[in-house]
Amino acid sequence: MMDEGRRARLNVDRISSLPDSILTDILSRLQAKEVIQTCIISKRWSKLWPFVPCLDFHYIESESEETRARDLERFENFVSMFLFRRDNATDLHTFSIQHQGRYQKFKSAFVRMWMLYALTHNPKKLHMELWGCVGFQLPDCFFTCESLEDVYMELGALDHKEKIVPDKISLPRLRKLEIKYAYFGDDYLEKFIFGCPVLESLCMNGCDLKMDNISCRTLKKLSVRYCCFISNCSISAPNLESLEFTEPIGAWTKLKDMSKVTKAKVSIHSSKVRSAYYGYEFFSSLSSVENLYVSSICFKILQEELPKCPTFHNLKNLTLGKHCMYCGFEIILSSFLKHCPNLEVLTLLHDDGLCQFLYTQEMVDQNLEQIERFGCKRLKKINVFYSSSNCKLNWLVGLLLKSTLDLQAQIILTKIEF
Amino acid sequence: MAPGKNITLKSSDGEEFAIEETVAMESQTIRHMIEDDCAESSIPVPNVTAKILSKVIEYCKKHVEFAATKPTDEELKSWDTEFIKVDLNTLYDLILAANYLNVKGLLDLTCETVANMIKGKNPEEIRKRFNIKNDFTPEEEADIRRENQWAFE
Repeated sequence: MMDEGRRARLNVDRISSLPDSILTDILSRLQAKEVIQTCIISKRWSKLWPFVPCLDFHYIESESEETRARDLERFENFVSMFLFRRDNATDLHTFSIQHQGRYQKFKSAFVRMWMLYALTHNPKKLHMELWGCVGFQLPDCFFTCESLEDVYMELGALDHKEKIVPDKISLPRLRKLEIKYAYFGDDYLEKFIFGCPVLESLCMNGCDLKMDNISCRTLKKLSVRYCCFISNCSISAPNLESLEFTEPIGAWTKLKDMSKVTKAKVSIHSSKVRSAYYGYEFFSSLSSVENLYVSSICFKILQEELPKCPTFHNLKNLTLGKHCMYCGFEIILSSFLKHCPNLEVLTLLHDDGLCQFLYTQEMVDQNLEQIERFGCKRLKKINVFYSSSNCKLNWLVGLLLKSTLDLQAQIILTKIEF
Repeated sequence: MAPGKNITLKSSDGEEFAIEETVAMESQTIRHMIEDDCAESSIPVPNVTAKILSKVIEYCKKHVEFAATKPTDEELKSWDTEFIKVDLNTLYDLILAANYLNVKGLLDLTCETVANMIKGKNPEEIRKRFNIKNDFTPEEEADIRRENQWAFE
């Protein structure tokens, strides 16, 4: 038996009586398409959308070739109209354009218009997946935007990287930058970093870099993925806590002053760089890490210089990447582990598809007998993530059991999709 | 752990809640009062009932704890998700309380929850869910649709 009062309260529209600031906050979390359609809900709601300060536009490329061109035109028009019709005096704190597709690129005239609109409305966060929009150059006002704090910029494409050559760079609030497919020539990266006095997180993906030396005191997190180093250089970041260095191409990079790095992920393909570049010296600079992820190709490189390998005193967590299992890796592993006296957790990613195992059963038995025990007295846990259960996996587990006979280590096997 | 100073909050319906200063400071509103020395023995929180205030305090307490224990993102999210499983009326009350008391994390959580209830719904479905009355005449509605044709293509 529900009383009338309660029944009445249940049917009340309380959401419309929330203050404007809260409703626009709620709408800021929706995609732009849904935001504009709220104009039809009621009179109160029709007045909200122009004041929403965070806009997120998603372009999804149609599977059908026939509708694609029309869809793209509609999208470009939609973004432009939205910006034109919203309240011009309201700041645009977040402007995001996401592109999901493989064939179509936004027209540079539109991109320029959108970018200029965003930059003149005090943006804090800019997320632009421009995907191969060729012919578009970042406007000067981007490099001197006082309000920007967080930027994701995907400029050109793998085969056409956008050149970054601004005159003046002053981004006083920029803390986080992720940039994809850019070309930083002639020390422009150094200039760029110099113009960002509070930069904490930098991620460069698929970029071409020509520089001698980068130095950044404020940087806490650095990711360099699939970048091409045109000349030898050094990176110095004395307050860096987290480093990712994935598959660099070209010249070598030296890491300096990395004593505060606690977490490092390193993946180097010896076919893309001269292995001499990334041996003992490179790993020495990471010797204070607590968490280390290494692809075993690096491991191979390190093998040649194991006697010179530094001691990883703080290393508690070691993960060996997907290319882990090649013949003889266990010998290197146990030698390497001698340099990790305080290791607590070892994780191995055993992707059967990438296995380079080729050996006979006798070889396997032989190897096991010779196996050295792991010297890490503190080793508590070994995680093995595997893609398929087979004799190679069994061999690995047998090996691990033998190597940890006198330790209290737990071995945990988990099946995953690589 | 040495006991910190205690602050007393008084709900709109007269119930008093004694909490640690660190927990109270999760509310920027109360923080300013404390820092500006305007805080008397008991801080009144008008428009927030005891039921809602105790929920807000629960949130603040837990998040102060989290700052010390530093849980994983999953653990944090999991707790927040359970915490916010409340009926719609309570959700509105929490939004208003978080807004008045300026507890950023709670305001984000509650607004995100409402946003998730709106996502994926067309205007008519939104009206139904939140009991919003369509006060447009058919002509007015047609006008708006025409004016914002680009939005409905």
